[in-house]
Amino acid sequence: MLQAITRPSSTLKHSKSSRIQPANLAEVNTRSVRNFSITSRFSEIVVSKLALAAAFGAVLLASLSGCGNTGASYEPDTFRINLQAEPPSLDWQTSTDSTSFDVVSNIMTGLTMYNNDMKCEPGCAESWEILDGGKHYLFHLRKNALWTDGKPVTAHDFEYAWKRLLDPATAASYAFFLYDIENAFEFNSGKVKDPNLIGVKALDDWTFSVKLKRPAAYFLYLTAFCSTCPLRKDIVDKFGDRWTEPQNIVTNGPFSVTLWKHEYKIELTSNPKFFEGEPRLKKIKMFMIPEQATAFGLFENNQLDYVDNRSFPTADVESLRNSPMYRNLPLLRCSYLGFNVKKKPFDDKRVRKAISMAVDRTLFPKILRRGEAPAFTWIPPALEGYSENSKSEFNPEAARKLLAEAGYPNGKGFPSTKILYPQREDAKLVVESVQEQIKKNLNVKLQLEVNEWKVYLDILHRDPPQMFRQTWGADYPDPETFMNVFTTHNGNNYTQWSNAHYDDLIDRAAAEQDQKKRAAMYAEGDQMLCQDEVPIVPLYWATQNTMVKPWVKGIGFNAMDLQFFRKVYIEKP
Amino acid sequence: MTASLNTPVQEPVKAVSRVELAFTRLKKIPSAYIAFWVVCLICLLAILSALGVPLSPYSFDQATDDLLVAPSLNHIMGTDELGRDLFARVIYGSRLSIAIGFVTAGVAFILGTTYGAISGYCGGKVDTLLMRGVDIAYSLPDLLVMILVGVLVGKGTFGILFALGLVSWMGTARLVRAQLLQLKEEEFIEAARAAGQDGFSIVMKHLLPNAMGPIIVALTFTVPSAILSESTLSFIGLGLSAPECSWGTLASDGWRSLRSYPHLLGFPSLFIFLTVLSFNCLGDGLRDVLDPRTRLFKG
Repeated sequence: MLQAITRPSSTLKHSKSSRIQPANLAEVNTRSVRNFSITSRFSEIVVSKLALAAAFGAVLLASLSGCGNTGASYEPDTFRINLQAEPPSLDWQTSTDSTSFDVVSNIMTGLTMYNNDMKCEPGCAESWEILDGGKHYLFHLRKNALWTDGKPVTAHDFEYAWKRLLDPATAASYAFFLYDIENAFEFNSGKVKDPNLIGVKALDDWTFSVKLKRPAAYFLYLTAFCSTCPLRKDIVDKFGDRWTEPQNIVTNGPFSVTLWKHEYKIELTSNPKFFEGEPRLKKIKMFMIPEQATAFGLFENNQLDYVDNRSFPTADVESLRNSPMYRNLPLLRCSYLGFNVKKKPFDDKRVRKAISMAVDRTLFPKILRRGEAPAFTWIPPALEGYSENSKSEFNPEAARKLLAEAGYPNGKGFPSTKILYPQREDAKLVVESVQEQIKKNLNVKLQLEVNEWKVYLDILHRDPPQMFRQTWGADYPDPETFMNVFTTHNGNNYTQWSNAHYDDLIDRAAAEQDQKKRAAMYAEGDQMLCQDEVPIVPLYWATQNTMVKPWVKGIGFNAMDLQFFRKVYIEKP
Repeated sequence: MTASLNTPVQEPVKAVSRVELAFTRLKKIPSAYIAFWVVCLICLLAILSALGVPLSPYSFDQATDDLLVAPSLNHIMGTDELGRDLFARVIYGSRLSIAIGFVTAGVAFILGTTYGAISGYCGGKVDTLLMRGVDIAYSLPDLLVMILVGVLVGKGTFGILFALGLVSWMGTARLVRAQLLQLKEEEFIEAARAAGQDGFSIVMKHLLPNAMGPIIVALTFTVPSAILSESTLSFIGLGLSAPECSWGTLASDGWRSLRSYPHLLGFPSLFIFLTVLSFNCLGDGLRDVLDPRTRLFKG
């Protein structure tokens, strides 16, 4: 009789939950980002939790059975990495996150491609002319660039893709990428209805003409980025929303998607039709293991060939630093706190500034211990436009004063405020530290709210909370990529902050040919972000920590953390 | 009557209450007796910490000069990634873990006893109907129910308590019903009924007090299983929101740095282990002590 009540905990064991097939549940859930609901949120949590439990079980098994396994167990011509999370979408036009870009960067090629030094080299375009003082770009496409179904990549594919990216119906956050083009912004915001007025045109199958509204120094970089890759109209028309599924998707990059088991792995296979020749790597397996420790266990057990921050337990960095496989590299990626300036109490810039001044950025590198640098400005020191004068200062005394002026003396009457952050270990440590600092310095108690990556992004898109922790990584090595984020019409500006002077400044800076003047303009914008208007609190510059197995050759690293694997190969050690 | 020669005078005269009797019997089972004091100690820690008594000489405030210190004389359990003293955190976490255990047991007691008493006392169709209800509730996987409730009610302390309460009352309900079905056929109930007492007072005054032993034992087992459930929920990320902590969240955080800093997982786990073990030993002991049919004790 008593036994009945002593047992309820047994139904909670991890082993039991892992028996449910996460993949099946995930199928139901693939398109849940747009129609967000309680049920989708529920299944997301369940799916990822169960995946976690399953992965945990797998690692336990692996560690039990694999102890004596010292021989190199690479898979020939196969490169195995951890994506950590399911890419929200492989649609390179609507993706905004690095998980999706890691996949897209390897299956698609735009007009140009980055080489290992982050310089643009010919991609689908074998050459280009810059005419009319930088306002007119003429791309000449190569004739041997093919889609995976054998059709050639033509200028029409680019014209369709760029117009779709700008179409308000696509609702792409990255539409701002093409705002430099004539009538692009007008079309995207609905002021111009006729897509033919946009300054992009396929003159013939092999010539693509782009007319800008004004010169833009960084324009070529944009053509190497995922968002501007070509797209096949017939495929999108035929499959609608499901055109990114592996059986439907048609790509033109060095690899192609051949398998996508949701919440488990994506497999890329080398593309024999790739114009540079088929890559030496035959297969890339991208797993989705959410827990860093689990993924790292798999790396140690030779089941992953490459791990980066996503699979790197923060706590273990010190012990791994001496390994010959370890590499640390500073990134052009800033982690910041954003305010929704439309919501109380952050509609008052004094409150925003008070929070910014009450956060001691020098603590974050100590806590995270991966070689991060404290961020006092929005423009990284490595890029032009960085200026010591833009720095925000840490001054709790002044912060308290500002808060009192705003009507919250000693934090009294401060409305209940939540910081939203994604479920990532470093994010948690950082927001917990911020929470404590704000409590200590301003006597304001902030609440924390954690969410799954997809749910988190979805909340930011729909209705950003008062505060959120977000990161921004450079899309190209130019300060424009940072400054543009907080212009009014940028789809990634979750702060709702809108400032006509700032917009105008960034617009003028883009066209400015004189490097010195351009830098001064960006410095002025940076000062607005960090000192005067404070829609954001830059926290730290991230670094990338990687470990690569000795049999992996030809892997390149760059400060934008864009991962291109077309030159990687596996060599017997 | 005179006292017999080999018995001290004061002993047999004194009336011994049920609690005292149970306690004397408990002393004779060493494992249960030790467990009883461990449980008391842990509960005391939890209560004192809830009252704000500073039990740890170190604050759990973040101290960026002492990040990830290994256990030492300064920090007997070491510190975590944000420099918070783990001992202070474990003490602080105890109140939530213990509170969750007891509140869940309380909910199980109130809900389960009411439900079971109605079912057992009324019998017949009402009983059949109510018990099928319990069967249905029992057949839903606990974890699934708790995740669902967590999503609907929201994360945090309240959500956890609500979810745990919801999945923990069925056992008590069955137990109480079975006890009552058996007891209500006894003669003293006949007598009460003949004396004109109504159903409510029969249940409250005669039936439940006599069923109390098994109920208490069952509740003793509910506490550790609730603590474990909370740990599980926290471990898979559905638990409390930071910086609130329980032993479950501490273990969950510590697991990530197991390779380099095992103390972050070890100490919270040790406390969970000790508490659960003690409650289970105590429950086992109580079962023997409170069951009049056990013939372990002479005297």
